[in-house]
Amino acid sequence: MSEAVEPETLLNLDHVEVRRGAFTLVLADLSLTVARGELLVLAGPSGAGKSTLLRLMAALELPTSGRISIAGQDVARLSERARAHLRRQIGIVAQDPLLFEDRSVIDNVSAPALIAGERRSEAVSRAGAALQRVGLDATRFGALRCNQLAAFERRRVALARALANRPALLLIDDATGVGADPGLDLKALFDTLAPFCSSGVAAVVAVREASAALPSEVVARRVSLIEGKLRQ
Amino acid sequence: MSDCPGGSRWREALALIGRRPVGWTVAVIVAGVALGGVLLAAIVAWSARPWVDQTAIAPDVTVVLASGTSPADAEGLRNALSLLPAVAGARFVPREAALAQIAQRTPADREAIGQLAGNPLPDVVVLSFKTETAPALIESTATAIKKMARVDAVDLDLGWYRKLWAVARIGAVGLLVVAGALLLHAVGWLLVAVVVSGPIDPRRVRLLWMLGADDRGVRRAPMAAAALTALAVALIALLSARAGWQRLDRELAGLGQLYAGGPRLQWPPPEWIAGFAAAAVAIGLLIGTIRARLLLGQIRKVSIS
Repeated sequence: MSEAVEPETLLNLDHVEVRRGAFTLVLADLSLTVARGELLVLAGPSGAGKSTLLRLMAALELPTSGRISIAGQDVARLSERARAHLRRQIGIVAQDPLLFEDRSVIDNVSAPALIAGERRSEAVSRAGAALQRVGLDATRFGALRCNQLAAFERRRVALARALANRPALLLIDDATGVGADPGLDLKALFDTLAPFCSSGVAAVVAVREASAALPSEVVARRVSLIEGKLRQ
Repeated sequence: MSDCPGGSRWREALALIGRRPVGWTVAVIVAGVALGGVLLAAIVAWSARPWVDQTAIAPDVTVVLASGTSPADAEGLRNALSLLPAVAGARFVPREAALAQIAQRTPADREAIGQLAGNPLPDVVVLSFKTETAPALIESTATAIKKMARVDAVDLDLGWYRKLWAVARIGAVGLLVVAGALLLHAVGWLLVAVVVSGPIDPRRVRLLWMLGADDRGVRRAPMAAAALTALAVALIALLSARAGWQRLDRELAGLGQLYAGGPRLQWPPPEWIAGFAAAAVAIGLLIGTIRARLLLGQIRKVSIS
């Protein structure tokens, strides 16, 4: 008889709560695990707490109570420096794709690898490959300044940047926003992420409406977040 | 490790400065000229130092020697007195010389001296003290001298000197306050230049932090930009101070011709100029660090609250 091997947990949220001030409860008693290689779709309307949850997962924010561990490390116990190093293993696509506006696309996409201490040539080579993955031609787009890009191109550059540094965890906020993107709808996004998940990268994708079918070739799960409470 | 997405920290710093070229230039020029005024005031004060030293005075103390002291003993005592701390010089005045000096003053004095049976004056050693010697030290020295062999008396009038000393102390404290105010003024102008010219980009800091840059990496470019800004302010300050100095010195030279020589301003030596520029860069680095730290703290606080 063969024993089923439990997938290794990458991210664990244990009774996490986030309050803003004395009366606003953003996330309530939330427990969740994400395994390596898993694709988790986090669905919920605007204001449900998706962005807050993703910020917690990215170690950009600490919970009011509860415990978050990433790769077995309790985030709250890490120093600022260690948290910064942890973020280098996480690819983040924020709702508003924050970019170095006066820098080229290549400079932006290669930034995480440079920050992680890679050589410039290696960082640029990774950036070119990542741009290819999201459907942007590095030779055509690489030298463009980010303030010259259309909104959907900016989101793709942000996605390429998240993918470029071989992250262990990918966090994509408001992926339904890519609906405005003629070439990268939710299904296309899942198709882009599938090879990464197959190679062990965990991905959490926040959407407003989880209409697209989950990819069958990776371990995928859908959870709903409504008014700060998780519905599995 | 490089935390700069577009190249070196200096390239990033120049890019930060280049985001608002007009604002940066105006802020740097205004602050530079204002700082130049402060620098000129400091140079004028520094140039005035030799004249102040010339006007500084300290009391003389007359040491009356016991009668019958031989010239050799008197010379030995003069030597011993000249070696005392705080004593700038010791001059032996023989009784004959003192009498002759009085006899030279008026015919009446001469007549009065002629009626004397002998010379009633003693041999004396006149001590001059170093300028800025405290009255208490002069007094204790005089007390010690009184106990020395072959010393009959010590003539000392410290009343006027105590008053002058008290006024001078108030003046010194006032000068320190003015110097401190000038220094604060200088730092203030550098602060204004760095803050108003704004070589820091909150979005960039936020993004670097989000991508995992550590604090040093986030601070690097704003620090370099602030240092470059402070250096530019210092250079403009030096240029405007130099122009002011030349103008003022020309005026003083004209005044000197009228009064057969007069005060001239001295331009500080090159190492002082280099020190001024280095200090400005150091202050710029400090301001850049503090700004980046505050911004980072704000970003963290907003994320966490």
